[in-house]
Amino acid sequence: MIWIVIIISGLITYGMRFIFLTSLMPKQLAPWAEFAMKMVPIAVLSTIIIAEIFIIDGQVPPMEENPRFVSGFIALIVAYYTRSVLMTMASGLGFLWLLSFLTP
Amino acid sequence: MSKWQEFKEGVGSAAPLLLGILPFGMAYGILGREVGLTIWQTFFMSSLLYAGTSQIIFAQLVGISAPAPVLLSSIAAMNARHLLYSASISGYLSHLSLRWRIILAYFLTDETFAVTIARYQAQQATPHMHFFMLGSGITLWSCWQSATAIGIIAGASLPPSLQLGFVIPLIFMVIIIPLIKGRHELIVIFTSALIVLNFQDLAYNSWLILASVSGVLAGTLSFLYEKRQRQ
Repeated sequence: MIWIVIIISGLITYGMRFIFLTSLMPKQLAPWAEFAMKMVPIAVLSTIIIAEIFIIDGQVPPMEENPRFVSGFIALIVAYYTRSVLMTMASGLGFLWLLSFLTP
Repeated sequence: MSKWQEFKEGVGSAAPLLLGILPFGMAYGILGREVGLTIWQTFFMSSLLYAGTSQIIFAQLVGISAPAPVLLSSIAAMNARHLLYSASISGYLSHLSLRWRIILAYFLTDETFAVTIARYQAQQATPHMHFFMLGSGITLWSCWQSATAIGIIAGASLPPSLQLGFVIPLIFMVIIIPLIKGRHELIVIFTSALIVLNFQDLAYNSWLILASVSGVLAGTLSFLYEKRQRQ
């Protein structure tokens, strides 16, 4: 089942990369469609960021009981200033480990 | 420039990106195993799907047992931006044979698009400039496959208490920050956040789709509204 989903996802993605390289499609999109398409990654990624940080086991725990909130916030600041995947992962995970270690 | 020179320039243009791709690919490899994908599923997704962010979304959704339709629609929505890349680069590749276009389309990721379009727009067209795209594409592809493999191997020895799934939102923060250009993007983010926090118990994890679609809709309406005000 997972294999089928992987293969179909791959075909869809390849199709979207290839379609404008054929002569079947117009080369220009409507400005609003182009804008909407640029917004998709922002919407999907921010949804996942929020879900992964605020929702634990289907609940939204109070912020002070949620170590992911503080760690995520620190990582966000690091991400903003460094734009580095490595630094952001190190600071966010580092803080999460520290907090998990301090609060048994 | 000769074919080989173009190819080497493509390789060189991709090289600075490898530092960012390596930890990203490794994180994906580790995650794939952690959410319960098999070694081969994790590994071959990197060549079958070959789109980093959506592979991590795939792993995240497998981790929360999302059903196949949610997985497929999320991946399709997430990767719809490749339509833009395909449209923008098509003018530079339209003279090539179908075989070349089939091959180059496979390499059309965020990174390959970015370095290639920059090169094509900055310099005059040359007969062999598709070799530049091939060079950067092959370099980035090889790095992504190796990083996945390293992540899979490294992940096998890491205990679950490390909560490595937390790298998902962290990586996504780094991706999203440069994309925020103004008010519309912030509207997208706040709308999505509002929906996901209020509807996270929806069946089949459909909150991902609902929140994303609402965000895009709100951002696009704000874009259209601003355009209308200016007229």
